[in-house]
Amino acid sequence: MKAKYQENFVTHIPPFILLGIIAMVPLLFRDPYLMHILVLGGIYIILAIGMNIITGYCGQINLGMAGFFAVGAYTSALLTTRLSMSFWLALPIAALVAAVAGIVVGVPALKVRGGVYLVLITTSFAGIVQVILNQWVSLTKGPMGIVGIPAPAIGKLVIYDRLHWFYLTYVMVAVIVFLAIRLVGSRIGRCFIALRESETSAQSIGISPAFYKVLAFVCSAVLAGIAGAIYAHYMTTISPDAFGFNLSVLALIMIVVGGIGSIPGSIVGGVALAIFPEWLRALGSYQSVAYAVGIILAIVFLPKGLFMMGVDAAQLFKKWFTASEETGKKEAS
Amino acid sequence: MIIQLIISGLAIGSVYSLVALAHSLIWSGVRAVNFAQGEVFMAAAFVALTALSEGDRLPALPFWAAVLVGVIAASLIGLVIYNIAIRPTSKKGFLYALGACIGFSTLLQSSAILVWGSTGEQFPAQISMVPFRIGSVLIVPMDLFIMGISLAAMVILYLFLSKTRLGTAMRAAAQNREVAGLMGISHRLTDSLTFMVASSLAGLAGILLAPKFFVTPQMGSSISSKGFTAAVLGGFGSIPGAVLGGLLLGILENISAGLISSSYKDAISFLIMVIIIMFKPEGLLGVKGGRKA
Repeated sequence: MKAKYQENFVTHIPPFILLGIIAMVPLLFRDPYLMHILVLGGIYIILAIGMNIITGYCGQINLGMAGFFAVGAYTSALLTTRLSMSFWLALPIAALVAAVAGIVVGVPALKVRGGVYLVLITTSFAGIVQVILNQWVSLTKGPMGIVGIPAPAIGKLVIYDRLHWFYLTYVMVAVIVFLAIRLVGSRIGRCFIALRESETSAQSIGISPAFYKVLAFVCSAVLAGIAGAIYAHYMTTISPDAFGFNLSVLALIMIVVGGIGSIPGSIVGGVALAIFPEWLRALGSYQSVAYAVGIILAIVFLPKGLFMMGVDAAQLFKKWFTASEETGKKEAS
Repeated sequence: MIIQLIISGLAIGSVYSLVALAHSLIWSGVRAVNFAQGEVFMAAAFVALTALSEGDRLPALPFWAAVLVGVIAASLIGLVIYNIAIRPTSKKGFLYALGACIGFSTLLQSSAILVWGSTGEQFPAQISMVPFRIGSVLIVPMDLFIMGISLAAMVILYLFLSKTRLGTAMRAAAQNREVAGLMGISHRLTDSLTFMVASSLAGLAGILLAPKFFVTPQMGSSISSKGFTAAVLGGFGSIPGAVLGGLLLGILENISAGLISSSYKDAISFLIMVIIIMFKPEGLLGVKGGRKA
């Protein structure tokens, strides 16, 4: 019983400490631009958790997150602008449509063994989504995009202010983080990990690869769809070029930089990739070059991701601390 | 009509073949994928364009010398990508190699924007673009030139792989890495060489295609997905398959653009890829039961 409690404690506490730190930022800085970056960071966290479920936990590389994100964003935007539906109704529908998209990609992906083909099939999906968004002008208005997406409202409070958006986003992030921790710690999450480690041995103990792989695709698609819907309502305008290949790549880099197969890693990765380009803004036109170099260096030299690096550093520090304490005791005696 | 579409599809198809060939060489030799291939393609086109035009201190080079400069630049970029992005990450897992390659493609793209600007430039056509007529079919001399050079490059590649010592070493390493290593063939050498040869093919493709389109820093991303589709269509890792897949993709794309709609041209390529991966993952000329990508 106590072990169970401790285990829960260890897996639940670090992500919420991280979220708590982020939630304190507005108390210290009231800069609207910083709020904007952090709201984007929150959306990225949701996207990174989705990416981590499919790629980090289930081991299926998915470079089509931009497709699911776009499906969520466009569903919610179209429902609220065309049918003047409430955001709170459009959000679950967007998640549902994204889930269907997840099945559409997940089922063909079952046929594929190995990484390269999975990358190609998921990028093709995102590519097809983008072509449709550009060409189906009567529904999506094509490259012009959708404008005037309404702000969500809670009772009489219309979420329009950056600070309100910040709290709304991070409440959703906190709920999703909690659910994601429960998911990856549950039987389903352990099945994902078993499939990642060895499909054959997972199958031999009765785990159905088809079911769990499609389920992982659906989970990540739902999260990407939710992130997309929040993005659409926050930005108020969306156009197809926001959902290109670069966004799928961003999702991949977030989990590689933050930590593969780790929920707190997703939080670190999402926020880091929202802040990092802004941090490089001082470099002017060299910004994107420095960004790319930073990404390459992080991938080549930090294989465990930023979060685990932090944990390792803390453990090393603890070891030194206890070691010096012990030597101190010895000297005293 | 159909014959016309097939003939004009062959030129772009032969360029797709070169890019697919680059993918297949790398996969069969190194068991890696260079996801920055499209940017190598773009960089070679820009370097050749710069060599071709009058610089501040440098005189304008003749066309052939400019092509050579572009191809050499592409092969050096390939060497750097292998040694920095692929080699150190190959033991950690595919995900890291993928991430590092994509990092490189961002790096090349943003460097190109920095050096050459984001608007793009026109590549001067060396051969006439004015079509002539044989029977009822219009043929553009430029297309013939592109096909001829691609064919020549493929023949040179074949001779290099089959007749030279280095080429034989590369094929040996592709067949069985461990045994090739025991025979004293350095993996690092053959792998680097494979990347250089493959990248120079992709670079040549970029230079050949440049006069038909505007040279822009973003031109790599669409060709990159076309190259993958062509390679998958022919059989990932198969050398003759890459050639066939590229030509076939060029023709299919042109026919569908001519008969259906050109606005969904890119979607056709994606659809072909999904269909092939689902129903015939070994491709048209791939070895069945062999190692799959």
